[in-house]
Order: sequence, then structure tokens, then C-alpha cells
Amino acid sequence: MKLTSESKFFLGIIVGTILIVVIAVILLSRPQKPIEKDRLITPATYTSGNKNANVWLVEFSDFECPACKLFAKTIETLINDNKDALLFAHRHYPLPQHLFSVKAAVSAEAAGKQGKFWEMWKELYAAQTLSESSVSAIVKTLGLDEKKFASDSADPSLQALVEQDKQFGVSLGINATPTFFLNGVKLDIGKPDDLKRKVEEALHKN
Amino acid sequence: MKQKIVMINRIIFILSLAGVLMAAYVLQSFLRNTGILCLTGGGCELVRKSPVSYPFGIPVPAFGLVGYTGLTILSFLRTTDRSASNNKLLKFMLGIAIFGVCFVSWFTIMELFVIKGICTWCAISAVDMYIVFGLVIKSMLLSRK
Repeated sequence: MKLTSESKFFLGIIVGTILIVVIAVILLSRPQKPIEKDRLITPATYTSGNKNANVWLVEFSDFECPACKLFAKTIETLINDNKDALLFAHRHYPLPQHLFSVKAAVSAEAAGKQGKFWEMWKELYAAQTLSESSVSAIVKTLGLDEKKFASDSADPSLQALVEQDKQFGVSLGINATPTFFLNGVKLDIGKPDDLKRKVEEALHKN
Repeated sequence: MKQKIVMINRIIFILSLAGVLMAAYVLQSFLRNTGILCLTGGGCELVRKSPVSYPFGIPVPAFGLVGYTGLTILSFLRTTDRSASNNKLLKFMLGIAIFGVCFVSWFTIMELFVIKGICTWCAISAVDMYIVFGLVIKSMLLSRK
């Protein structure tokens, strides 16, 4: 095989590309620095479990995301089985393709004003396909004060909270839901069983 | 004429190399279950998590990686040999490009109507493959003259 000047030019590009890929792989495979707990769990963040637990799990989630619904069951089990050893926190990450996702997040915050964030959290995932009427039905089921719920839902400060969560998620490089951080480290997982395994490993270590 | 063929081969080479990089990036995300940087919101994640993206159990970007790698190697080999076998290489390239165009068309239809989410990288890769296909045809026509 005879190498022409054109071949050498092509080879140069191939070698350059391989070098760039190798550098990218090295950079991407470096261990992540954990994110501080007080950045991931702010005073406004709803949590469930032991606030002083050594193991803490933060989820960035969208109530209309089917994968989030799948994970919600595993999260409930993990919280119930490890009430003293685990702290779970929910952060909002409404996706633009889910038209009711922002309203759903605000609804959860508004229910939280009446002490029923987690009840709403569970019902929103269960309903999944959300609308004004399905949220109204949930409000009735949970026995919330409807007038207060309506006025809280329209409160711009709650919408700002949801937006702040989203922007914080974006600043962390999140682009999909659900995204989990276990003790500040982003998890690379695909299935609820992977989450269960990771959390149980962390619980075992601590 | 010859200069035109050389220039087209260069473009095919660059586009194929870009295809290799895109496919490699998306494939590592499929294999490591990590998020994909996506201009279309969560479309890439929808695509990654859909069973449609694993025909015969193989992640879709693996097909892209093999196809684009083949095109890159063949376009490189065309620079080393300017004899009659150059046409053979071009026929091989056409074969890959035809398969590639059929594959990206099928997958784009799946994205639109089954997965209902568009992955930016798949869309760019589809356009890339269409251009490569067009350039291979153009190259064949020029080399026949």
C-alpha cells in the first residue's frame, strides 16, 4: 500500500482525532467530586427520613416522567425500610416536553404548605397523566383546603422555587430525569434495582 | 474532474469521522447508562431508554459506529490506491451508505412515531449519512465520466 501526501493528511487527522478521544476518555473517567449536602438539600427542599442520616439520596425528578414513576416505588420502599439510616430529598426538574410538569411541581409545593408534600408526591406519580382536573381530584382525595391550595398554587414564590431547582439542576449538568445523587455523588444507573443496590451498599458501608 | 473526486472524498472522510465521534459518544452513554447532552430536552434519554433503540439487543449507536468506521477506513484507503480497485472501494462505500440511509430513515420514523422523542445526535447522524450517501453517488458518477 502506497501512502500518498493525501493519505498522510488523512492519517494526521485520524491520529489527531484519536488523541482528542483519549484525552476526553481520561477526563470523563476521573472520579467525581461529591457535591456538598447543603447545596443539594437546601432549607426549602422537602426531605423524608432521618435528617442526620449518614446516607442521603437526592432525586431530581419530573412528576410526568414515566421513569420517575417507576423509581418512586423503589424510593418509597427504601425510605420505609431505612427510616433511621436514610434521608431522601426531592428536587424539581420539570422537563419541557411534559406540559403539566411545572404545574405538578408547584402543586406538590402547595400541598407541602398544608403539610402534605409527600402525600401529593405519591399521588402525582400514581396519576402520571396530569391535568387541572386530575390534580383537583387529588386535592380532594388528600383532604386539602382547596381555597388555600388554589391561592398557594398561584403564589409566584412557589413557581420561583421550582424554577430555582431546575436551574440548579441545569448548573449540575443534569439533562434527564430521574437523576440521583447519593451522598453527593451522581449515580449512573438505569433501573430501580440499580438504585436499590447502590443505596443498600452505602447503607452497609455506613 | 480528479480534483473534484479528491475533494468529495475528503468531505466524506471528515463527515464519516464526525459520525464515528458522535456514535462513540452516544454508545458510551448507552453502555454506561449515563445522560446524553441533548439539544432537544430529554429526547436523547427517551431514545436511550426505549427498547426500540436496541434492535436484536444491539444499541443503535453501535450500528452507526461500525458503519461510519467502515466509511472512514474506505475513504482513507481510496487515497492510497488510485488504481482500478478504487472503484471497488467506492462500491463498498455505496453499500454501507445505502444500508446507513435505510437504517437512519427507519430509526427516525421510530423516533417520531413510536418513541415520540428526538435525539439530537441521531438526527445529526441521519443528516450526516444522507449527505455521505449523496456524495458517494456523486463520486461514482464523476468517476464514470
